[in-house]
Amino acid sequence: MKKILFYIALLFVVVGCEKNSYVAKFDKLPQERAAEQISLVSTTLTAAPNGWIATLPTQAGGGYAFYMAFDNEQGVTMYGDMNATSSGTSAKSYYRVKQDMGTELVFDTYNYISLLNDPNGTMGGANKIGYSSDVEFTYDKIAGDTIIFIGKKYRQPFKLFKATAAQQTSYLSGNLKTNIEKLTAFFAANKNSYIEITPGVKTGVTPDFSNTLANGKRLELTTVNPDNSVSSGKAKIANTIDEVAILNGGLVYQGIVFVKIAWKSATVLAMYDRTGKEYIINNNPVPLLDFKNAFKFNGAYNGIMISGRNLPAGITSGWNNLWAQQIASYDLNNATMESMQFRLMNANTAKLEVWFVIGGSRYLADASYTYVINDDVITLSNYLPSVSNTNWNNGWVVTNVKNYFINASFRMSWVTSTDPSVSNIGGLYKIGDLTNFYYGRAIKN
Amino acid sequence: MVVALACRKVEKLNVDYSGFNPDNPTTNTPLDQWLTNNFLNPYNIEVVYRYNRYYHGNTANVAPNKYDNIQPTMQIVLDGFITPYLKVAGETFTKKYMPKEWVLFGSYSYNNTADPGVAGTAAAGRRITLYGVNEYSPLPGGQFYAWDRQRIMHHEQAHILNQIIPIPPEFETISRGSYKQPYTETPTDTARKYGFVTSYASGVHTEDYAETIGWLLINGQVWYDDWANGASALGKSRLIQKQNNVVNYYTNLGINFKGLQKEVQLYMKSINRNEQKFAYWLNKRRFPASTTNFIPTFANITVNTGSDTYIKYGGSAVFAPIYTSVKNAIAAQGYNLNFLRFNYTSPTTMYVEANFTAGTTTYQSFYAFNTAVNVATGDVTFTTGTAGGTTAPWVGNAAFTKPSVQPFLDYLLNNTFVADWLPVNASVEDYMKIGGFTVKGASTNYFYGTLAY
Repeated sequence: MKKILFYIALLFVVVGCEKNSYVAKFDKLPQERAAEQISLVSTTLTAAPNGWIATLPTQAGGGYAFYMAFDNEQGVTMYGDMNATSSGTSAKSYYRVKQDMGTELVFDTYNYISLLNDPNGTMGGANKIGYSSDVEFTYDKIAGDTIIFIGKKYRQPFKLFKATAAQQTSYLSGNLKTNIEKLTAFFAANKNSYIEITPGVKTGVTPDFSNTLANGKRLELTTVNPDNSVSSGKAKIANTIDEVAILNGGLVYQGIVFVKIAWKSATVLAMYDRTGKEYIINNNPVPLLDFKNAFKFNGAYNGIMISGRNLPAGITSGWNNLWAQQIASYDLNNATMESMQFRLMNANTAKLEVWFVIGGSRYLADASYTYVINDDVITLSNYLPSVSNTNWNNGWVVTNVKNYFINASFRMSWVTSTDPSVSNIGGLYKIGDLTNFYYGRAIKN
Repeated sequence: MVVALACRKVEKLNVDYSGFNPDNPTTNTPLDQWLTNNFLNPYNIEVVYRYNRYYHGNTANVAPNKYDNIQPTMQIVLDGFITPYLKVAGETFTKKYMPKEWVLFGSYSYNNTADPGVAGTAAAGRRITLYGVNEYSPLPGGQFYAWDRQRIMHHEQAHILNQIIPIPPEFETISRGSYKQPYTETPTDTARKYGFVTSYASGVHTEDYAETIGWLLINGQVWYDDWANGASALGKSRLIQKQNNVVNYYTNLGINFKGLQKEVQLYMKSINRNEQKFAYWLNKRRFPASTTNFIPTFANITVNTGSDTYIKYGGSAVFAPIYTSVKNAIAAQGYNLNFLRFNYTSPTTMYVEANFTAGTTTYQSFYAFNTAVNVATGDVTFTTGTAGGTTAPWVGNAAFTKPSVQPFLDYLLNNTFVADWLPVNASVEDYMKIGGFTVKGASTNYFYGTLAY
């Protein structure tokens, strides 16, 4: 015990000694330097006359962009690109800048940025976690008109760029919402968008503006190589008032760093790389990936489905006549067609599944086949009717439809429609009669 | 140590904290002023509503508060929590023992995807943390939110008190051997059988204590008694012991627990909770999920205008002559009417019992009724029912006294009543122990009786 007391006493002596020999490395005390940085960050944020445009990738989900205006009373007003409300209506909350592990900006009451951090998942994200995003950001640096923070827990870069007066006006007019709607409409109408990095080679451009955790707020570029393999690249994106910003330094694809998608003119959309080079976005009439490469039991699509009583519009095929017979048969028997699907169940079994409704109850009629694929030709054999129940054999599928698939061979290909709103239609063309093909929307079960 | 301290004394510790950078967000909005006027100034309570990670722990996922929900949430704190304590426990107690720091967070606190979420915590006898503030919505939609905040706060306040004045050691012995973790593996029904108010209470005696206090306060005495009556004999005995222990604990703190319970219940009435309504309990089956068991909450209601209760609280001048006429008519038949009693056989069926005596022999006459209850309005109607047997009370006795009892039977059949806890001036001790019926639209025309389970 005495020994311990001695050491304790000694410790104080040592501490005392150190005090006398302390030489400050900086000319100011730590708290003074911290105060200066707090002041710098506060002043910078509040001094931007037109507010800030901010981007923030989330760790688990996609990327997001905000407009933020900070006032001198710890108030912040923001817009965000996550939904119609956040992009069209400003919301006020509070922030503070404080000393923490460095200087920290905290959005300390709820606002659009909190939607990403909210574990209750009101907008989406992982249940009880959210998008793995922060409301506390540690100051990193100021570079020109940019101030950069790092998320405290999830370490994502939170970058704020000074907005111009025109940009501010545009945000305040609710233009972010209309801009996002215009972009969404463009890609809805141009489902097979592509750019040409090498002339003649089409690279698919697929942005996802939804908030789903796995794929939302991301951009994917896809190219089918000459050997039919597919190469792709993916990055997080965010909608600012002027562009679709590609976050985390851009999307590096085929040696090019793509940084944004923006309107070249009122109706022409283009991608831009870091050097400012422009890549016009065009639309292919059919998906870029050949149907034979996309349609596999474990591929991008594994089913060809007709939903309801009407075939996809604008397509002429011998199948149309068979379909009319099937619908007529249902009409006679007070049944309603729900869907018909040709589906690849596994590596060698395919099924034709017909769902129909009588008196509010759903029924299934199905048959199975063994299939073999050789390049773009699929051949069916081992026809097995009434797999799940007896409905197939009991006349709920008309004979001509049954016969259509028995021991048949088809060429697999995309189908084009005269109706531009109809896309992603997969077809099974009868070998020897290319005017006769089963077709429907390509789906992934 | 003495040596060390002596050395230290020589050194003059000259630290000026004024140059440091405190994390002290200061705004002076109407909300801040309201919080200052209603919490800081009267109770020295600080309300921390601006997000601060260090209040919830670094690993948890928690979202900040929606600003607009702060004031209504803290109003709920005032109305259902602080005010009842202020009224019953007094100003000194309230100022001394109310937690001094209220921390609010917008979401619940989750550590991972499997975590059910933390709704509230109490710390150091001084701080209550309330999570989930973003779920606030105004009444009537926000009724559950308001009730649930009270549930959390009264539970946490029990912990706060326990951190200052320990739980009486005998409490732990009541359910010793029945505590089991994880509590999530004990279904509510099992917890009830073993004498716990919730599954959560069955985990450990400290939570049992807080849950017993919390549920007695927020759902009231009838709920608690009904819960006990639906438990096993063992469970019921334990629940009664726990209640007595809790009441005693508060008595030692100088607080009338029943008074506190009534004040909290009046708050629950103001937000229209069912558990506070007499009509709800009249209408409720003890085991709602059972298709064969129709046990009502109350076994009977005994009406006697000559009872101590009526002497203490008085009664309706309109009803008194009706009861008296029955009593006099039976006296004219040579018998003394002891009381009239509603015997409930299910929430929709009961029979009126006229209980009368000659010499040392007591007799009964039974008259069957069907009854319909509207919980929302409290409306109750009675219609003639089917006799429950062929024994003397149903046949001979019933016929004998029928002309005498008829004024009361007509009174029931010819009016629509509103059920409520009566009389309105019942003492704290009698609150929810006496229930009655007022003729709809005629507030001076009513009768009441003592309730039995």
